[in-house]
Amino acid sequence: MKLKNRSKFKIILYYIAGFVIFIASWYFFVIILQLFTQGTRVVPYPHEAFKSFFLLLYTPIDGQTLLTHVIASLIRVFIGVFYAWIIAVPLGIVLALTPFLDHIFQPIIEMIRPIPPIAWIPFAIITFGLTTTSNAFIIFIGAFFPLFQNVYDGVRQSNVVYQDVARSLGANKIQVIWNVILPSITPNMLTGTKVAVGVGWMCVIAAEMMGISGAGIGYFINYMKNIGYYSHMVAGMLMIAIVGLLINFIFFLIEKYSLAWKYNSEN
Amino acid sequence: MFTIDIKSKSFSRPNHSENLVLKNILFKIEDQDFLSIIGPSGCGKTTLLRILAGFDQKFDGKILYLSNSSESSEYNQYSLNPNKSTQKNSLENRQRQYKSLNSLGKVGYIPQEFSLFPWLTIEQNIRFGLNIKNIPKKEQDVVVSRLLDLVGMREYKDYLPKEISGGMQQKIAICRAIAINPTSNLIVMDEPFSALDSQTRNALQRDLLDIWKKQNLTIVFVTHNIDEATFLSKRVIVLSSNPASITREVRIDLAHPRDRTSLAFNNIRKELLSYVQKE
Repeated sequence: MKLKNRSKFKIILYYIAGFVIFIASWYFFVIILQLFTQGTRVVPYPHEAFKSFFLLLYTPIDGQTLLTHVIASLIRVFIGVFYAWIIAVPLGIVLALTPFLDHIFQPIIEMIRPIPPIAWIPFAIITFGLTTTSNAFIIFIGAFFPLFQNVYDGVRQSNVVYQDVARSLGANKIQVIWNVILPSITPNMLTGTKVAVGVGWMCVIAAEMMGISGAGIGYFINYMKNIGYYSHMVAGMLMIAIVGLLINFIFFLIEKYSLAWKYNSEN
Repeated sequence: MFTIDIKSKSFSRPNHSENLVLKNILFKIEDQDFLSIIGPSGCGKTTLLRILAGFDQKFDGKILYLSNSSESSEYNQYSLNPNKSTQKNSLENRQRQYKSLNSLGKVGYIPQEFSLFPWLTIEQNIRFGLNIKNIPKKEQDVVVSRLLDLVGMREYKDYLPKEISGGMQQKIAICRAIAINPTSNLIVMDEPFSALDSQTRNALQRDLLDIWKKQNLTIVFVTHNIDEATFLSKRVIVLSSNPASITREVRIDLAHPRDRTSLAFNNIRKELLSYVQKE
């Protein structure tokens, strides 16, 4: 137990060391940059960015704080990922289980997959206008493929022995899907969702920067850049990093508690 | 209470119709039998077992099932070759009859790999087939509790499969297979102990014999281990390869538990070994 605590303490020390190195590199980078630009400084020091960050948490600019911007972006991500989920998951399962449908739809999916979500932004603007739907559509496109692929691969790779045993115990096709295939692909669904949220988060920032909306963290960063408030701009970037970290932590908790059967409890 | 006659004229794997896997397989499984199937590797032992378990249904042959159980006392014949039927009505009739006697859901199946559902606890694994069959919770409790006591694993009921040993997992797999059909109790096992170390395998062989006797099971056991077949079986079928057909049927009359060091045991083992090596 003592050993475990000691190793935990060590890990925390490593985290702090990593953070200190990051901040030091940041200062170093700004100083070096200043030398090259004959003393003009555009990139803020870390303390300035952190100061802006905490200030903007409760001080609104144009009626909106950093938090309200983040919430606006998060809602868009949620909507986009939700629609991607309810379409990609059943589609992944059905295509993986029915070869003839797979042959019909896979080529189309493979054709659309290489188009980056960002490339859909102009299409979204002319189709849905500067609306939440436009944003949700971009996020949907970004989130759909990782979700679909993870579910599809999960079903294809799901252990046939479990399906055989279930059939021998009297399960019909639907019962095999519900009681065997679905539980066995929960790790894939979770991985797919994690990647989808990550991609969705990137997409929403890009879409907001391209001007689809009057709020959101991407809009905020772009706006601050345009008016020359660079420390505020970096504060927005910090907010993205913190939200990303939080999202990862939430997925870590979900994995730890809902997939205990898959992973060792000590990890 | 039943007798099963297997009459397989032929069986080819899907998309490989030119390669016969089984040919002229005829054998009988008596109630409370312990029948082992041995033969060279790749000869079709597993294929035969899968047909018996109901997974491979398109083979040219018949499974005849004589049931003396309370629900039916007639001799039912199941043709598994609907292609040869000329009249639509008789085809439909046969398929209906066949479906009602499908092995799936009636014959317990234990594969070679550890097959407990990893996301379910030990108890939930045993309940799986009972839930599929919509058995009331109270009846399930009785069955589960009896089976956990049978294998002495009551205290492990809330464990996940990964938390118990491979040998324990196979014991629970046997319980899960027994749970679904307490009346006929036919279980087919495909080299169930091959992934275990020899010490655990020997212990499980003794446990299996114990369960077989206590539960009045009928077991069809595929193995490549001749010592295992000699130790466990009442009868052993030796298969030839390419395509598989039965070359010998050996009845072992030694009483259980068998002594592996006895002369009689070793004579039978050598006899079986010589049959397999000839193939």
